[in-house]
Amino acid sequence: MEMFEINLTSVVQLMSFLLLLYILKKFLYDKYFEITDARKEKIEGEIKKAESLRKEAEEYKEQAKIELQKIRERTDEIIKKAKEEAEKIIIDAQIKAEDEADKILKSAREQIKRERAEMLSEVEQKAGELAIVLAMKILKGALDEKAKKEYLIKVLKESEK
Amino acid sequence: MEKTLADALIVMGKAIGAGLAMGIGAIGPGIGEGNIGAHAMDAMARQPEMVGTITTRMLLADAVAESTGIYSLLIAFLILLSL
Amino acid sequence: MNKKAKVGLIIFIVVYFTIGIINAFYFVPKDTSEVTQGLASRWIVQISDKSAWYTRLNPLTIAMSWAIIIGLIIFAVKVGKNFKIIPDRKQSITESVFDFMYEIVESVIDDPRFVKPTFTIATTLFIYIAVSNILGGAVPGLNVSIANGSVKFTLFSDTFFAPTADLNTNLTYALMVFVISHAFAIKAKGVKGWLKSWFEPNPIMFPMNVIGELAKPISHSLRLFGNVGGGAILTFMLSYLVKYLLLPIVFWGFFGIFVGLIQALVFAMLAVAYISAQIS
Repeated sequence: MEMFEINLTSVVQLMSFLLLLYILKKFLYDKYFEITDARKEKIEGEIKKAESLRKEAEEYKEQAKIELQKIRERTDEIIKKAKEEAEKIIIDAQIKAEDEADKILKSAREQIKRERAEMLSEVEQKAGELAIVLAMKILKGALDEKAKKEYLIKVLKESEK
Repeated sequence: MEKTLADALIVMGKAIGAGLAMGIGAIGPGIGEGNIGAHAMDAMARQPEMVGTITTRMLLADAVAESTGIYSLLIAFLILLSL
Repeated sequence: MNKKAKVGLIIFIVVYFTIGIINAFYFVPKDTSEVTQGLASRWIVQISDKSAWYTRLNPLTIAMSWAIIIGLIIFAVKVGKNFKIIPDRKQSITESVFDFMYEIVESVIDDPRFVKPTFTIATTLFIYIAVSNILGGAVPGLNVSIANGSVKFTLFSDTFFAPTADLNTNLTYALMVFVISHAFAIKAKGVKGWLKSWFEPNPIMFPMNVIGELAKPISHSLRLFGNVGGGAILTFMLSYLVKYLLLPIVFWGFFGIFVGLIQALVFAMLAVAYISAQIS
């Protein structure tokens, strides 16, 4: 029955086991817990960092969107302005051209009028002269009927020219 | 050493006792481990993706079921060698 | 396998066979009964003249357990000194064992306060018993046999003596687990709750509860003792049958590595289960 004997060895074994437990706890388990905690923290920190980076990227994206919107608005405005200006220029040019045309027409009409008046006055003057010449010839009476007529026709023809 | 009838009877009793202890003691663990193995195989066939876990658990259950057989082995040795 | 390991293996095999042959020719007992008579006996030293339980010691158990403990301490100090976030080889082996045990403990123990202490106890038990079982079951070494009261040493005729093949060790650890489980129960439920747990379904069940609780450490320790002690005896007898020349490595493998590791795991897991049953 020596196999089943319980003696002082059990106490020694208990002591040595407690010593082993203490040393393993001090050198391995505490460090294992520490390391696992550190690893967990590191992973969490990394996840948080990635999250913040993502947020930042989203913010930047939002900003870029706003900026793009602004730029678009500005270009739209510029194009609108340019169009308006072009229209204005076209209208101005039209008005100017119309004015000029009016002016030209007016001046042309005035010239025509003036020339007509000049001509009229010239014709009147000539007719007056002729009348005076005629009257002088008639008054002289030294002319026969035939010569009179010929002369009249000749004068008239000349005046018609 | 003078061999007497009593010595011969003692040897015979030891042998018979050890044999009976080992033989009868092996029945229970045999049946138990067979059951465990059969059901583990069933479970593995049903869920082939759980093979690793099932094998570990099966070995643990085997070890627990085996312990009565180990007790009888110990008793057989005790009878044969030290009594 | 690198060159160093090859040279080591060749040296080991040469030494092993040389000593095996010397053993086979000079130290093998001629009579079979001479071999088996010392098999179930233990080397016990009496310190003083008075023969009582507290004056008797098993020197082999103590020597082997101290060898294992010193080896484990050296390993622990070596690995623990440079524990890093990114592990090297030794550290990752250690951490894989710890992770394995921690998952089991975490899934069994409900109360988060007791996870780390239980893990500490269970893992220490597992490591110590696993190393001891493998040393006692699979590593050829010194055999100490008692023949007619005198101690005889034989090299490489048997595996090393495992401390867990001594009932002192196993019963001590099982009782320690028993005491720890009840201490945790008192800490978790208070003295009143702990006393109440003995009369759990109804007061008539009190004797049954006492017997059940007392049976726990006994079955707990005898399971390990039976496996390791029986395996040691079987290994010894088989090595006698082959005249210590060529020890059957397959048999060693089974009783040493396979059964040894599984029994170590069973011991640790039963400790966890007992603690968990007490504190819940």
